[in-house]
Amino acid sequence: MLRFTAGLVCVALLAPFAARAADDAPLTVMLSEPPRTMDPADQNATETASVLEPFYETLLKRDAQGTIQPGLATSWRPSADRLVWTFSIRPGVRFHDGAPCDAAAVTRSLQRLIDRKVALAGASVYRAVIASVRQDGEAVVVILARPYADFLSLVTLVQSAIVSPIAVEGGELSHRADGTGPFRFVSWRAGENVFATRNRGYWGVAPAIAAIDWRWSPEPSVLNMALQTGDADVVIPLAPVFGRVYAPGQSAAALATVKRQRSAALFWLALNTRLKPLDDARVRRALSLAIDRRALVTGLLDGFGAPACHALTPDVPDALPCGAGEDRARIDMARALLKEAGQEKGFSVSVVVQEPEEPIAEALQAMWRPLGVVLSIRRQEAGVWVQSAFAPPEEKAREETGMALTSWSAPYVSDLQLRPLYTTGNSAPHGANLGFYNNAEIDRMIDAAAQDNQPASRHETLLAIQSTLDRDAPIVPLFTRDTLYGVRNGISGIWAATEGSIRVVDARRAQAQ
Amino acid sequence: MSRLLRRAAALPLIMLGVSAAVFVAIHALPGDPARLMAGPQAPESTIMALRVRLGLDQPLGAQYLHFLERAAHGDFGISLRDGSPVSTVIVERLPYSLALGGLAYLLALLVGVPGGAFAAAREGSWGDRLLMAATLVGASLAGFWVALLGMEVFAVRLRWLPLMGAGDWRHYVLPALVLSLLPMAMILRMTRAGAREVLRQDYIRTARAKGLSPWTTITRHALRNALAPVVTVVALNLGGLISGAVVTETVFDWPGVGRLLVDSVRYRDYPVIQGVTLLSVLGVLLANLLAEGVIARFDPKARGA
Repeated sequence: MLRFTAGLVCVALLAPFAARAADDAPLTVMLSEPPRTMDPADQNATETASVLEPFYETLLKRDAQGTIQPGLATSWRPSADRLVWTFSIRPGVRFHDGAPCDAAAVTRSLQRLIDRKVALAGASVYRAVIASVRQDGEAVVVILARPYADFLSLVTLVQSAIVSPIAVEGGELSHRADGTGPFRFVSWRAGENVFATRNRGYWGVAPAIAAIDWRWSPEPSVLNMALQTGDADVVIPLAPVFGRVYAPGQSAAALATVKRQRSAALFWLALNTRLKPLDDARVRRALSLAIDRRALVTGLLDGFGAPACHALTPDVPDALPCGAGEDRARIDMARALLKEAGQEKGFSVSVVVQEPEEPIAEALQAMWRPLGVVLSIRRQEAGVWVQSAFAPPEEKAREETGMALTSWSAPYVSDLQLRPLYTTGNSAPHGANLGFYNNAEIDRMIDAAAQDNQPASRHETLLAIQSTLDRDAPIVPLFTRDTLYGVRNGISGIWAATEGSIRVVDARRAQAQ
Repeated sequence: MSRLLRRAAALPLIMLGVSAAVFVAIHALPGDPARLMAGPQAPESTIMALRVRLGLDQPLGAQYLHFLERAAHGDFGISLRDGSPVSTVIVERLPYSLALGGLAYLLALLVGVPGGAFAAAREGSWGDRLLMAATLVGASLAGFWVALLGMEVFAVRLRWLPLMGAGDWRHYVLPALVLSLLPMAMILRMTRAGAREVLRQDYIRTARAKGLSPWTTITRHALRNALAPVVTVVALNLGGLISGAVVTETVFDWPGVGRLLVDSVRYRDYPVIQGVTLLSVLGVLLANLLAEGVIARFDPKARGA
């Protein structure tokens, strides 16, 4: 009995150390591609955002519920016309290199973001919206070029993260992260990993885990195997086909758990509105009506997704949901529209697609066959696809490129979902309006919605935009794909953001591990 | 020797020609690095500004001259993706590729040569047939598939070997085995064919008539002549070690040059593609020189050619 009691006392005394030992092991996170840079403003890739998030902080941030919270700014206030925003900067924060992250440093970081001469890859929206940035004592004043209703969302994105002026001056930010986040950069071995350790001088709650080891593999089955062997504690994305492997009752369920996050990753088909017969809105609508979106989600995503029937994704409050039956094929209506357009015998059209999206094109091929529409699929390597999809109208006409199939994620900000894809000024090759859709009324409404600070009238405008786009169908939304990720059992505090990046700074290992 | 020296002296000129061809070919690839960096939503103004920043707005001729000027000083430029010097990136990766490829070829030789000799000595036997069937399978299987199968069996189920990455000796086992399959099959078949041919020669009959055992006849007399084509092929393939293990390196998360090349092509990182390609070409040229030297050593007739 004495031994037992002594044993219990020992266990109780050593438990905190055991827990610390468990958390001292690095958390290994595996992604599908390597980071492209360590400069948060010079990229637009979800995987890169995942790696950079623990190193950097933004003025404001979103929590797991998507609510905006204070970040490096403790408070903020707009002017009456909402053109001037004043942010009070959190005192006492330091960059990983020891330099103070004060109002001067934040001002310089934001000025760099909008500097056209620096030409950062992820900064275009900031250059369009922000006119200037200046310091005002312990505060930073951001002056907008025009009212922008979603401005606060912009300063939550990793592209706007505050970077160290020392790293910028040293010209090393592209390969050495230097921010104020809870983890500090240790190394980036380009072929192997990015290693980060806990920032002991962090102003906020110190992370429970001591280090993060980021690794990557482009092969989905390797990601799955890494989760099973323990080579990775977290893998993202996990291919839908592996979702079942970890279902309750399966042997792998004892090792890891698969988690699911509704995502804003929209898959869509851009239709060439300059190419016959796709220049007829009735034909485009017919093609949209003939698609069984629910079958796409079930068949291609194993149910890990949601049909997308309208232009905005569900994370935007003003998004129209799929109406009853809208996610199912409506072949009769499609046939009637084609007949009205004089295309009742069908036609041939081609789509350019990258290899991962080819199964979607094959499904569309089958769904359009009853209409007599023959879809030829041109599978292309990523760089070649970019060349084809962003080609100007005359080149697309020469190549007879009728459609481009792709996906992207721009959560929460309706303007970022609409402007690049639908406005005349963004017609390819200048932007992502790949089908050359040209509608002055849509241009005007998108501008109006972006600038309107009144929720009710803005809501009305966004509904009108979606209805008009449903009618004109320059783009056929298909579905949003959920983010699936796997976490080894015994690890908690991991979550995925709506745009698909993984958040690991609050990770914690169970004491038993 | 003088012929080899002449060839070696021509290397700089060949490299200059190759660099021009590689430069043109890389820039003829469809796909814009600035667009790939900025993402689909970026407006044209951002793309144009990025092109200026990356120096891609300059005429192709000016870009090439700039490249040559820097390359003459050992500077192959800066990676468009992360801003690291290309030479640093390649030097970091090269040891991994050379170690993996070297080990794979060593394995291939250690199994292929004795295996081929055995098959030739026992021609028509069950052992010979089994080896021939095995080499057919080994040469036909897709490396990608074998790699995944090996990972599933030895790393996931049996837990004998690590799944991926580079670390201690255990990390080399699976990728080296997978990478060795094709050259192993090739070497075994070539050794067998060469040894069969030699075994029919008069001097072999004489050796046997002297009372030497078949195995001694093969190892002492037949192999030396039978191995000449094998050594030549192996020497020629050594150049490919630098960037030849693309699939194996990708599947096993091996931080080598092959994987670097794939990633660089994906993002149209022109300076890195160029650096890796030129290094590979240099490797092949040096391997050619080595092969010629080896042939001359094995075949006295080739020395005077």
